[in-house]
Amino acid sequence: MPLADVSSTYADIVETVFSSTIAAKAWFATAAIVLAVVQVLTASRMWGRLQRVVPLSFTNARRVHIWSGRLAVLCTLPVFFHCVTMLGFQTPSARVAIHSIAGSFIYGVLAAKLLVIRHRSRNYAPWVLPVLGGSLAAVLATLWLTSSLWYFTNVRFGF
Amino acid sequence: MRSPAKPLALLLVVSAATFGLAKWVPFEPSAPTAAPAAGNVARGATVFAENCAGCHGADAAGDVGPALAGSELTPEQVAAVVASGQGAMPAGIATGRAASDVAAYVASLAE
Repeated sequence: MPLADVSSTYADIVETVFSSTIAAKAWFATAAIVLAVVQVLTASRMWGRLQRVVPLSFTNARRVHIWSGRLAVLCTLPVFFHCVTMLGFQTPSARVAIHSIAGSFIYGVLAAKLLVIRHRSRNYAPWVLPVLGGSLAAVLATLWLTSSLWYFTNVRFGF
Repeated sequence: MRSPAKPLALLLVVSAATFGLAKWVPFEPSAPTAAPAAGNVARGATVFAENCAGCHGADAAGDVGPALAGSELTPEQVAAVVASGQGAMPAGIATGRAASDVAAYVASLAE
C-alpha cells in the first residue's frame, strides 16, 4: 500500500465512529488522561499515600495501576499514529510548539519508567520511579491541555 | 545504588527517535493534485459549523482564525489548506466528502 494511502485508509476507519480524525484524537487523549489520573491515584496508594481517597488494598491498587497503565498506552497509540506519522513536528504557534515538544518526550519517559520498573529490584534511588511516573503524567497532561482541551473549547465538543 | 543513567539514556534515545519520525512524517496526507470533487454547499455548512466555526467564527467573519467570508478562495485552495493545514490549523480537520463539502461552502461565501 502506498504511504499516501495509509493516511486516507486510517481516516476512513476512524470516521466510521468519529466525525473526524481530530475528534478521534481528542477523545482517545481524553481517555488516556482519565486513566493517567487513575495511575497517579493508585501509585499514591501503593506508596502509602491517599489511603482514604483510594480505599484499595496494595494488591488491588497495584492491579488497577498496571491495567490502567496498559489501557492508557493503548489509547495513546492512535493519537501517536495520527500526530507523529501524519501531522509531524510543527511550530506555527506556541500551543502547537509546546504540544510537539511534549509529544516527542512521552514515549521516551514511558520507556525509561518501564525500564526502572523492570530493574527495580536492582536498587535505583527511591526518587527515580516517582519522578518518572510524575513526569509521564505531567507530559500527558500538557499534551491533553494543548490539544483536546483546545479542540473541545475552540472547535467543538462532540464525537 | 544503581545509577539512573541507563533510563535517562533510553529516555533520550526514544524521544530522539520520536522526534525524527515526527520530522519525517511518513504518512503525511498529500495535498490534492487534481480538482476536488464538487462539494455540496449545504452539507459543507454543517461541516463548517462543527469543525471550523470555533476558530473562523460562526459567520466565517474571523475570530482566532482569519476571516473566510468574502476571501474569494477557490474550492481547490480551501481543499488544499484543509488537507495540509496552515499556521495553527491542523492538517486533515475534514477529509473525503466532508472536505469537498466544506471547500464548496467556504468558496460560496465569496459570492
